[in-house]
Amino acid sequence: MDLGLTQEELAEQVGVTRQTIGLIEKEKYNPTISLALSLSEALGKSLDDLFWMETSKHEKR
Amino acid sequence: MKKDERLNASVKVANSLGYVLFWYGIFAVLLYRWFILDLTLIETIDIFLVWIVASLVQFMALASKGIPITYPIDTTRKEQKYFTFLLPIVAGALSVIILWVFREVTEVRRLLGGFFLTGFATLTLLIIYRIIVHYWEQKNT
Repeated sequence: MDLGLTQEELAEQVGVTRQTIGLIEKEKYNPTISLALSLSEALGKSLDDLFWMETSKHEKR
Repeated sequence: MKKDERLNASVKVANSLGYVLFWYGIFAVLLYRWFILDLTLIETIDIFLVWIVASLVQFMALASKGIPITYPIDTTRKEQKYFTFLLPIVAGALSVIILWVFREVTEVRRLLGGFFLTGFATLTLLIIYRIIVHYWEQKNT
């Protein structure tokens, strides 16, 4: 999704490093619920929109 | 940055790796000095104190987080009770073997002293551990 935010700006808003945001984007790090909620708030998107797996194994209910 | 959960978790992993190496390293040094160089406990008391304090701090930290005494082995409360009383006997027996085989102590009184002292110390530690875990469970579950 494109909200015109850089990784650095988003990281600053939720209080983590740019590297952590990068790892979450690449699905190499699973954030805690607390950080996931902060990201959801900062990006104005629901947790479903941000973190729901898009593979065929995990079909959306 | 201080509250970056990923960094905090990674730093903890790195620190615990360092701690494990430190703990086993110091233990190996102690064993080498006791059984190869034939030094006594008093002669190695400086290293031993560092090692025992680190061990006790870790022991208490585990108890204060409510980690079961037999972790990682899954046991029932009854089995944990048996463990609490069985381990001191094993520790006492180990102390007798060490005194007898490596220190060539044959005097029964000294061997029994070693057995009871080690067993009692182990039992005390395990009881303290169980008490801490008990209060943790009451508070958190």
